[in-house]
Amino acid sequence: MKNNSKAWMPGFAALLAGAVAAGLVSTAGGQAATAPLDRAQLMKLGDDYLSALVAHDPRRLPLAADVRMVENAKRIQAGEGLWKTTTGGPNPDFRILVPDPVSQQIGGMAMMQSDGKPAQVGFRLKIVNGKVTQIEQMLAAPRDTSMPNLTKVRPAIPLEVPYEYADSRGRMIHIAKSYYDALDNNNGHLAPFAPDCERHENGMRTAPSGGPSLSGAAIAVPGQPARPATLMGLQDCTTQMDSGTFLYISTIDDRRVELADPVTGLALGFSHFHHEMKQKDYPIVGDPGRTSTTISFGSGGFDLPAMHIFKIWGGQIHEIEAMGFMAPYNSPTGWE
Amino acid sequence: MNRTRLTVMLGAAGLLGAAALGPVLATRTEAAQAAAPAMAPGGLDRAALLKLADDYFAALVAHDPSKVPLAADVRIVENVKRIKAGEGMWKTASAIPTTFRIIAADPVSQEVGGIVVMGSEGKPVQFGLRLKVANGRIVEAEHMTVAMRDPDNPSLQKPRAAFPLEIPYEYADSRGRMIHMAKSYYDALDNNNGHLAPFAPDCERHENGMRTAPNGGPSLAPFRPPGAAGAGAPPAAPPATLMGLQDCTSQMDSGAFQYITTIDDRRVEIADTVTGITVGFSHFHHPMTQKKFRILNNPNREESDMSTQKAFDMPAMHVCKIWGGQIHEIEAIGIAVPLDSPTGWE
Repeated sequence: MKNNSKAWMPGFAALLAGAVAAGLVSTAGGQAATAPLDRAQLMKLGDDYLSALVAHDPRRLPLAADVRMVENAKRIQAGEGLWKTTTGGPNPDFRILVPDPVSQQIGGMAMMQSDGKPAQVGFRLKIVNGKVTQIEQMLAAPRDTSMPNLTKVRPAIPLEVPYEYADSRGRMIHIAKSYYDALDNNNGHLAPFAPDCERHENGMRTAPSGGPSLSGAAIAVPGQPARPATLMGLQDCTTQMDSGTFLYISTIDDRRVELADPVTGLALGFSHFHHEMKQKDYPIVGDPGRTSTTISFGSGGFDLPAMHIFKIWGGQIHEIEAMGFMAPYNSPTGWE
Repeated sequence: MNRTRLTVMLGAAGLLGAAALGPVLATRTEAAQAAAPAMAPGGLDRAALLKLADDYFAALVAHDPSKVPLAADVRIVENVKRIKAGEGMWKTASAIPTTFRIIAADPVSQEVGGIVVMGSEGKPVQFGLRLKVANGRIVEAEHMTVAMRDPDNPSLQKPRAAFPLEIPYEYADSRGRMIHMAKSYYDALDNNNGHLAPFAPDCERHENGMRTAPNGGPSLAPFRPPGAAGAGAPPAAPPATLMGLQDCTSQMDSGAFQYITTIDDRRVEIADTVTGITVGFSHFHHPMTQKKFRILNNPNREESDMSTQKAFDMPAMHVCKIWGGQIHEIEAIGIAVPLDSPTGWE
């Protein structure tokens, strides 16, 4: 069977469409508060941050004098990047906040406007002694076809988790980190995926993937030919990884899962994917429709700094909302 | 009970052999400390609850209820019978627990409990305990005593090695999850569906000191330690089977426990997030009106025949070791009592 490489690439087909933006200005300021911020205060800080982006005014936040800011894996100054280009948002229906009083961080994802266009924004703020010492922000321009999934968060994501289903912070951190092991080692059993696990990447549903829903007349990727009918139905998060679909990912570095909110079961992680792409053909196992896949993203390798938000309850990963953007191979992370 | 029955009657085999203890004589007492645990804000903290359990054992052996802070209206139940302070183990306890101790404390529910081996009338017994505290005083004390068929049972000299270990941060489940998983054990058992509880592959269950899971397979061939009586003699091995060790999950799936009609009075109120230990009480009913049960997915047998088994209840206590979202160890005790017995808490 001849493969359409893009249609077969549930992992990053969507992320590769991501774009970057940047700009300038600068400031610092804010008020002191030595007591650790509680969950509600962190949530408010997250909202204040999004408002400050729109106002192009980082002084609305209690910035530390030596605050470090990184946008799309590049160091920026207050006033640069999204501090300059943000023109609207957040969409109140697509705003996910992940507060963590233990690590004193607030992170999340929101649909904003940048230079007048829809922009998916991921962020993480670290607080020390009441002051923001780190701001990490990530920007991706979604495809038009992905916008339906980016106008409103999936219903389960904001729900609070009942007492007997709520995992401890430690378990959440561990489970979220295990996602990268499963993906990097091509072993879906290394992470506790729930049967209903559904992953979106830059707004595109990449798991469950394939199957009848994508066969016949269905078109996997707009502009691409329809996929042929296959025996395999929808492939879940576990078997998709087991199959070797993601063998083209060489390594996942700079894994930082530092935020977990046991109230909502949301955990947030940043990471940095490397794709050397010296190999183009990869064996696929357990799929009667194909025995190999050919991966090509044009010439040479690339990196994909990414952010993943995991909805975890009952010891399992149920939803993943991810975003990422392409960067040159072996790019720095911005935190060096 | 013959060996065939033992191997067929997974689950209750160990428990059925135990009878409720009767009262006897005390042979030894230990000095007990005056028990007046310090109140933490909102109740006793974990350390105070653990100390209270120790004080309680000492008070039992001293035959002196005044050594622990009993509430004026304390209710005490021993082997599903209401007793008064001074009766039951208050009279028969003869030695405090030494090496076999599994105790879990739960500051949220203000309860402490567990399973120990201690002396009663000069003989070692398995003793299950649950204490409930309100305003610093014991308002409920639940005892379960099980005579040991073999005082030298190697499984009852000290707890399995994993039991006392603390759980690392990223493997420690929340209290809510622990309670939920421990409760799910009864669903899995009652519904004959091993997938209703998150059993770890290494799940091992002991019942009244007998390993009942994993079960079967080659390991059931009689084992005699070198030097033991009969060592080297041709073992009276059970017939060879295709099936190896059956794990906690597939054992339940097979229908091995269909003779349990219902499990009532399920009370899982203690979860110790430090050690991952939960303590649950329950009450099994077995009318035994059906004697033969279909067994699934076992090439060695298609039926479990319990024709000789009479009706009975089994009040039981299960201590689970839970970490990483799974049940790894289960230490259970139970007593056989008449069918449809009261629980003692009515």
